[in-house]
Amino acid sequence: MKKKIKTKEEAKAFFQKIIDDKNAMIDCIENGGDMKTLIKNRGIEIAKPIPVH
Amino acid sequence: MELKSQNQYPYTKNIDGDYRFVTDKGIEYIAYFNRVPVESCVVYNFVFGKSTTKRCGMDPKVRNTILNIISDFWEDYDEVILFVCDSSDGRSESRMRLFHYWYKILNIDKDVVKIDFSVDEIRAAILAKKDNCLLELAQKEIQELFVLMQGE
Repeated sequence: MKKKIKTKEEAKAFFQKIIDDKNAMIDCIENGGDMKTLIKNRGIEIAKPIPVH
Repeated sequence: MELKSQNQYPYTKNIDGDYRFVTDKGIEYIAYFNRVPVESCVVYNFVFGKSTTKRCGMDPKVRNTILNIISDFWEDYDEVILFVCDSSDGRSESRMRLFHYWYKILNIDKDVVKIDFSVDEIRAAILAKKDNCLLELAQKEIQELFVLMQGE
């Protein structure tokens, strides 16, 4: 279980991190960057789809 | 789902978690679902981008493909999807309208729920299948964060 968010600042930071991660990933896609490194450095967890065979 | 029969691009879903497709104009789109633990529940933030900074014009096949990717994700994982709008460029309102439009298309079978949240400059929405057992918990935990942000 994630640590409970108790303050206004923590709540804002929670959503800002989501936005910042999203923007960083969009920039990475647009600029052909290294997504694996970006994801690792930012501590992003990606849902792994079930591949179609 | 009805969306499957609509005009769309073929896409791949890959072991690293990326969904990819290429448009008729040769623009590659890549989408991800980022795992976001809230408190006791987990939601998934949908992220997609295209391999160019240029404006590509309206292409309904892109929209259909993105909606099919979301639908496909729900077939793999019955999870709550979170959208958070970036307001730094003044376009959060148009993004929320886009999400609402997507919701109306996804809800063609009346089995999808969208719940909006907003305070000050932060706007968000969750999308889930109506019968998702985590929907109520996700709504409660996200709502609690917005209540916190409303405080002094």
